[in-house]
Amino acid sequence: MISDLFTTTVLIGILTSGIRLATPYLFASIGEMFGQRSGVLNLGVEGMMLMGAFAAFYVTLTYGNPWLGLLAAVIVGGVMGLAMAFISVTLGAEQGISGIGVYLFGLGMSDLLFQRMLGTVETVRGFRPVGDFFATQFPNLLPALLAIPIIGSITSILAQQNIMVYLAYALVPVAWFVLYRTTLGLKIRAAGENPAAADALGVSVARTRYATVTLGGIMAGIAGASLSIALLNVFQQNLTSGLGFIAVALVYFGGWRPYGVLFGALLFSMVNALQLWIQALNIPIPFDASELLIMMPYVLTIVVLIFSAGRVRTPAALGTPYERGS
Amino acid sequence: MKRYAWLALLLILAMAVVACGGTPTTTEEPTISEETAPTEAAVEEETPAEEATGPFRVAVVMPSAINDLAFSQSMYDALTAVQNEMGADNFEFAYSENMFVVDDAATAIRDYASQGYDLVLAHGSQYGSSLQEIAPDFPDTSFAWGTTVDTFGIPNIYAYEARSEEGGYVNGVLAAGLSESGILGVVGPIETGDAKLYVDGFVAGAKATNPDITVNVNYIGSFSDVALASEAANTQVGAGADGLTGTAQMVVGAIGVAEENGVPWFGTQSSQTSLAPDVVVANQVYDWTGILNTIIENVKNGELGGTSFALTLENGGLVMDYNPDFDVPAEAKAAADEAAAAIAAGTLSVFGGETAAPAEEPAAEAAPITIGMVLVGPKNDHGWSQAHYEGGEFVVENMPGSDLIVFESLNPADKPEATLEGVVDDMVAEGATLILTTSDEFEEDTLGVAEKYPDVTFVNVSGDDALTGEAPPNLGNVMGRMEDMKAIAGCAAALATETGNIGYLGPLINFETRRLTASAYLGARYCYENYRGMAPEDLGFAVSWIGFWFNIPGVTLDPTEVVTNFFDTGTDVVLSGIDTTEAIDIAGQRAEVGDAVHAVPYDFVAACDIAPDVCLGVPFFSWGPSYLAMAQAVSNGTWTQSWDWLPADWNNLSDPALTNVGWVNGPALTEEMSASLDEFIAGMASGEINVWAGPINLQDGTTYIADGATATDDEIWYLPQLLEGMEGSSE
Repeated sequence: MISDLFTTTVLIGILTSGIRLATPYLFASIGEMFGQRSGVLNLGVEGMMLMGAFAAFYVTLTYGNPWLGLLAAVIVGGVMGLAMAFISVTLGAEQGISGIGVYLFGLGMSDLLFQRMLGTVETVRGFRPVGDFFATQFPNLLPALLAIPIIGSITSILAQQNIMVYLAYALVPVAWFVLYRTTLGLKIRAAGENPAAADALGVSVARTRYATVTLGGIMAGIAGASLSIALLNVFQQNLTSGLGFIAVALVYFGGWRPYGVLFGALLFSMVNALQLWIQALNIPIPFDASELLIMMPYVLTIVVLIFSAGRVRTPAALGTPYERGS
Repeated sequence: MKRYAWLALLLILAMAVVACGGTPTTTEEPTISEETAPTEAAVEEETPAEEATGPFRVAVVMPSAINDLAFSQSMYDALTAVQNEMGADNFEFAYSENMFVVDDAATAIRDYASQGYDLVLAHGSQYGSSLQEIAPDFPDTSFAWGTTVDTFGIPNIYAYEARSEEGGYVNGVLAAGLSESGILGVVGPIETGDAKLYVDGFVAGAKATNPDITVNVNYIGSFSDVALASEAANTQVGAGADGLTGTAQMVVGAIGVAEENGVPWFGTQSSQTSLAPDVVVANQVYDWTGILNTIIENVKNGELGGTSFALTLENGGLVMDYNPDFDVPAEAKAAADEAAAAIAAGTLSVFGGETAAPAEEPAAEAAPITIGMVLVGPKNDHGWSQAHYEGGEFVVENMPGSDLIVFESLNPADKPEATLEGVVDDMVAEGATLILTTSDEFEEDTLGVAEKYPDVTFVNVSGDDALTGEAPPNLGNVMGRMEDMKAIAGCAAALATETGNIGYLGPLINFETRRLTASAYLGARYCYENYRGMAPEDLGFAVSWIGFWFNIPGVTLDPTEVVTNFFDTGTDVVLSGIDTTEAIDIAGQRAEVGDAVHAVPYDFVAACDIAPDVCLGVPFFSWGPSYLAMAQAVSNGTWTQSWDWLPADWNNLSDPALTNVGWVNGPALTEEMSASLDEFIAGMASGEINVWAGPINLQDGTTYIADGATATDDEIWYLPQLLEGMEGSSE
């Protein structure tokens, strides 16, 4: 029955799942957004995520500390971002193609390393839900909160998330602030809209783009880590399975704005969570096809894209290498 | 900066090479490398000659990684096992993993084929259409693909599949046994093929164990999306599931969730115990080794394809692998073991429409079937035909939903226009899958219809085609050991007779009637001598054959006349050997007018009711238990041809629900007679008394059973004549 969906348990379940599912998209998309705002399209996000996911997983498995794993993901992602920046900025290569190259590199390399260094799928003890922390530190706090009607539900949703989820959402206002309220943000936007003018005003387009693409790599690495040591706690070949490409699409979807990206990521994830619950509860839907449910997030995303088309403007220099004087 | 463009391209190229480099791998010994691989042209000409020498070479293309703890790993492990078995010198294999792009896989398949591999495995149902195109180009190479049963009719393609629903069912039984919340969760990839079979089997097993259980199924629409699989598992746990399963390589995400929440996990394809040793209960493990060995053997013998294989619990291709560290309650484990054994034995069909079979007694349940029953007489004849009819009713009672189609009185007198073939045609058209022809009159015609309908099971009572080997495999025979009961009947007659003359109302003359009549005589003789203290040669025992199983006016002798004649000529006890009740009818009438006569009717347990005062007892057939066993076997697909001569259950001799043939003491027995008869029965039950012990002479005086010997089954069954001391014709 459809009404089964509107119970507290299910609503909490959908929100918990949706919020959690959006996490890797947020990291990757926000990072990608900076790159694109400065004029560089990085299609290698997926490959960087895979490398970050593996690095984080391996380090956490070896040293038992997820924070070290996260650091490893940051370094690996940063290096890959730097490589992408070198190809696209210094060498001025076609960005779409070089991005695919980086993706393939990440896919193959993470697979190779996984085969050589691990050989089999294992689980790891990554970041725990914050509720676990509170339950041990303040044993009386959670039960007390959970008993209160609305606050209890919210507490339940929040307590089930891990620190990486909080970081992802905290990132959104920070990204907004950097992009719209700092000189750096202005430089980034200038480099993406009119690199020649920015250059004329003394902004180093190359340096700005290096910074954003490297940042994008770091964020992609963290996005991968959020999967392998926070949400899933496993690593497998092609763990991300297309998540990175969806993250790139979400940047377009969000109109290159942090809150737009947040909206897109949440919409996509919430609808996905909803369809999981509809299936799990055996709720009859017309046509009785799980395929239709599985399509829901994608269909909805396309619908929103159609309606928002024309209201947002692509960064003018996106995808164009800048060569001074040309 | 344009001049750097080539450098960028080079970099990208280098990266792409690295990326792809990880994928096609070979486990060959280093000495074997590309240069030894013949060129394509060479292969097509000389592959067969090469096969005799050198190692057997197999290549496999797989959709996911060799260590996916699932589908691809199951094949990789099998290839490794075969290699270990045959030795690296005799067996080599190469593999390409992560071939989730079908075009890449097709290229790989073609490459391997042109490199002269003896056998190329396309390990994924998505590769079928590619294989269909490629295989005809390499007629000397053998290909195999799965999971499917479709070889496309191409002579060099093998197909293989896993009956994953079987282990799915067992996992379902286990999961339902462990579940306390009554909710189970399933994380599936795409609702198709192997995955769908497994999931459906799991649901069936769970429902069979606990009809009230809820099994929630999520198909996430991807074989690779670990994150979504993980979230689907979270959803299931959130929805109350306290047992999880899932199939395909993306379930590692779900297993992680199961472990985190301490929810029991039921694995499939490969053993997933290592991933979550605390929560994995059991795994259905695919073992392709047997199928691989068979295919390799076939290929070596020049047979390159055309067959399809299946992994089953029965052939050991599917193995239930329990996690030794997970403490499964004994009851749930026993139920699972029982289900696995029943599936392997073929007595349990996963999707056999088993409705709510309690796991404790799955063997007692069988899907309803339609049974055809052809009777030689009317179904209420108080004799032979009614006994069969009630046996049929017994089956319907014990297999709810089954249908019994009865055709009565198939004989030339009542229905001269009807033929057994016509009757059977109608029954088959109505869906009968088991047809019982309940007279040896039908023996020959049953043979004919059994050949005409090889998919229908036929049982003829009481022919011997299954014994002589004339019967096709779908025809069996059954008969009860009425001989023993007839001996009791004879004994009762001997105990009761005052004149010393017993009459036997015989039907027609054949092996069956001869041996039954002879048994009655032997029983009578034994009791006349041992309990009455008389000389056995003084006992009169006359047999009068009427010519058929019951009265057909103008054709047979009239049994009423025959019985009357017996009583008029000094016989005071008549034993009936025909299907109808004239013997006891007439005896009852004669008793009413003051004659001291008795009768022993035949066939039907309640036949004494007609005239209790003259009834010494009745030897009866109870076909219910044996018909039920047959119907269940047919329903479960386990029926096999047999010739059954079913003994009595001596401890329950008068209970038609338990024994196949029986005896009920009649009200006309005096206490003294009863005591003697009970002693006789006890002696027969214990084996102390065997009326078929020698010396026994045939009617013509020849020795049949020598002194000190006892008759064998065959000697009894094929008794050629009546015995010395009996009056009446033998032929």
